Amino acid sequence: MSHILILDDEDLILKALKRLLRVAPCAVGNRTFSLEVEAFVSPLEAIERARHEPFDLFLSDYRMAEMDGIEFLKTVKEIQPDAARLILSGYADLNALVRAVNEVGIDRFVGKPWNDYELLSSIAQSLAHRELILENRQLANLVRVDMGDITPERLEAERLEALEPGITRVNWGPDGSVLLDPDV
Amino acid sequence: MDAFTWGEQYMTGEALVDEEHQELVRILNWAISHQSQNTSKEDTPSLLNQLVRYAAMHFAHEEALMRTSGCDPRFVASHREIHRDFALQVKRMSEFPSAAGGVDPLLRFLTSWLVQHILGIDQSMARQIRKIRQGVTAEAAYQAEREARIDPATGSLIAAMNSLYGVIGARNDALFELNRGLEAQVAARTQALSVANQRLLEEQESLKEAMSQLEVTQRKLLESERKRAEAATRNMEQFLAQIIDGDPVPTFVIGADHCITHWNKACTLISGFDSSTMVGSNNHWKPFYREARPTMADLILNGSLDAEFEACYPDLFRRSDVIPGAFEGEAFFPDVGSEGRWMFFTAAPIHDAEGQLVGAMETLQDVTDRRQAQESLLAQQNQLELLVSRRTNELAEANTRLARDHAALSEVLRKYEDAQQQLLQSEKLAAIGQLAAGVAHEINNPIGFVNSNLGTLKTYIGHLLDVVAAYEAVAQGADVELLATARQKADLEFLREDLPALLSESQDGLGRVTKIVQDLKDFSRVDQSGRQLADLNAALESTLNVVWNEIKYKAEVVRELGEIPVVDCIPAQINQVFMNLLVNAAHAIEQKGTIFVRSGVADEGVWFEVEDTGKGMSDAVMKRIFEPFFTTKAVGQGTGLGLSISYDIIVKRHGGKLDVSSVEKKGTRFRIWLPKSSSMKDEGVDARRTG
Repeated sequence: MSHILILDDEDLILKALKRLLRVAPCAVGNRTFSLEVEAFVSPLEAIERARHEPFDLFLSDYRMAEMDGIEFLKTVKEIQPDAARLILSGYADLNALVRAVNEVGIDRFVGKPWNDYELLSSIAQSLAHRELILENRQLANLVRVDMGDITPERLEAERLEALEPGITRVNWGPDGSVLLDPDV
Repeated sequence: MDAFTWGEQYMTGEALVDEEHQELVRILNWAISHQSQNTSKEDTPSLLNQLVRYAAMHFAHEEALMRTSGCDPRFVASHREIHRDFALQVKRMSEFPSAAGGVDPLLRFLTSWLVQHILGIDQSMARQIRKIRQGVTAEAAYQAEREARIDPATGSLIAAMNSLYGVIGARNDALFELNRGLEAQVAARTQALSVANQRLLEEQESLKEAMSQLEVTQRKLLESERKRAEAATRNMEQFLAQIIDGDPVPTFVIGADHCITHWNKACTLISGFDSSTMVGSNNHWKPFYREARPTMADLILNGSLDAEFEACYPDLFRRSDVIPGAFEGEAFFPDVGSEGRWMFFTAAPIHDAEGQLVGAMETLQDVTDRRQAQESLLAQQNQLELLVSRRTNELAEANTRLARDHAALSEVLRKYEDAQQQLLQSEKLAAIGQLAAGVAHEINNPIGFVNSNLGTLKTYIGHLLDVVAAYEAVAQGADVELLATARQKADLEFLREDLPALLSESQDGLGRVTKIVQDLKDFSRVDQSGRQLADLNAALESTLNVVWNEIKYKAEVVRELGEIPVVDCIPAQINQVFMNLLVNAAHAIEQKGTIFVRSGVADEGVWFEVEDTGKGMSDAVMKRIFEPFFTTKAVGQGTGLGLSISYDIIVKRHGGKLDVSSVEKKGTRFRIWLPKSSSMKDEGVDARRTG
């Protein structure tokens, strides 16, 4: 089950996407992904969600009222660096595109209006690629543990962090107490 | 033939009475027959007198007889009364004028009276006397008579005759009275008339006296009147003479004999001849000609003006417009003065009260000076005309040169206008380019999801058809298991909910596309580029819709639009200005801000404000913003023409105002004012195209 977050300030687009992703098969090669979709209209809400829930893929519009799509994806990259990032936009500006690819590291750029098959295969490919990288990293880590480059605690911490972002970060107060209130 | 035929019935038995009766009858008969032979009127009275005397005698005898016989006194009295009455009647009747019928009625009366008298009273008398002689008392005889019945025929006749006589008697009395009254009236009238006559005579006398007095007075009046008239005439003559004499225009008058009657002072001065020498003579030609010739006055007097016209005064004079029969003219008299003078003369006839021509008057005026002045003026005028014609030629040449320059300038102006138009077009294109980006997004989004929905719909339909096919198969006898599989695959519950939503969302999306296209059309107004009355609030709204995609990420738009009337303008151009201002406002806002749009009415026009909470501008920048090609944006970001073209549109083409105020870091406000009806001539290509 792959977790996907889609973000667009146009509600009807979100609905159309949800329908599409529910009913059409998201497959690449012989690998099919079943998708669980969460849709957001507001970028800020989406970011808040991203802090608490791990997602495999973020799909965002570019031109939005509260925040630029690029900004959003940049923020999300800091929170969940392992997720795939896609932009879905009708805005055809070369400068923006360059920024997106170079600054943020976008896996795919899909134009609006989109071709359903093209979108689905982009998602599938991004997910497949992500899985590949993760698997690669895992294997590399195993080798490193074997080689003694990394401690198993560190590895575990990283794994926990990947599961529950922010869990390995602790707010120490000035007197050595642990501050649990996230707003402090 | 006798009128009264004597018969036995008339016999009373008394001898005397009968004798006298017979005599009476004889007289009557004679009278009647006499009458019918038309005897003269002198005979009638004597005849009547005779009759009356005899009747009176007879009555006396009858009355004596009755007394001696001892008749009842009552009867005697009544009988006597009858006699008296009869006598009176006859007397009266005889006094009547013997006009109508003469004495004929009288005689007839007498006849018939006698008949009835004899038959009646006298017979009765006779009977009573007989009875008394026989020993009956008078009262008894009288009573018997009273009660006796005479034979009905005779009785009724007698009764009738009695009543008749009564009537006649009454009538006679009345007539008598009337006659007497009339005579009295006549007498009175005659008296009055004579009195009046007397008075009239007296009056006549007095009138005669008065008449004679009047005549005397009249004569005296006439006399004094004559004297007065003479005095008045003398005064008038003196007055006239003064008028003529006092008139500064030289005037002389000639009488019917062509001799001078008046020669005024002015005439003396101009001619040198004194009035004492001239008046009475016929030398009125002397001052003007060397030898005698008729003057105008002479000619008028002659009545020969028309005839001698050509000979004496050719081409020089004309009829006066003012006085009928008068003439006026102007001529050169070489014999007057040292070198001759120009004279303006008039001549008019003089008529007396009966309309006879009794004289003529002539006036003269020395117009030499005027004449000379006139000639010099003419000379000047000719000179001036020459000058004018020369100048006109010069002007014509200058004009042709000007026309050539004008043509050249028009050419340049046209080229300039073409260039300006091109500039406008390019600015429009740039604006459109900007628009296109925003619009593309606004179209792409709906198209995007509608397209996706259609794809999803295709899948849904496929699943549904599979389910239907499964049902059919099962109906045909296939395995029920098939149905469950198909249904599960389709997920009918979810489909039922989602399908309607899908379809309505898709429709909404396409509706949005339609709207944005419509907004674009409204914004650019491709079909109407001419001047017209437009609701600018609506224009602003549609421009906002079109530009919304450019703005919505940066700013919130607050509308504070007031009620405005329609404005005479070119809506496409005004929309362009709105778009420029709105896009500038959006660009001025760096992160997030607000744009206010306001409108209202002021000074016979409408105003609009576009205010933003952007970064504002300094005074130095503000001074230059309307310059063409001036921009604070980076290269490639803007043409720098937007505001200058907006300024041109508002101020030059619509006669409005465009103002700006700004505070750095706080915001900027642009204010447009447009007059409700513009008096500006539209010189743009747009107008020419709609022509």
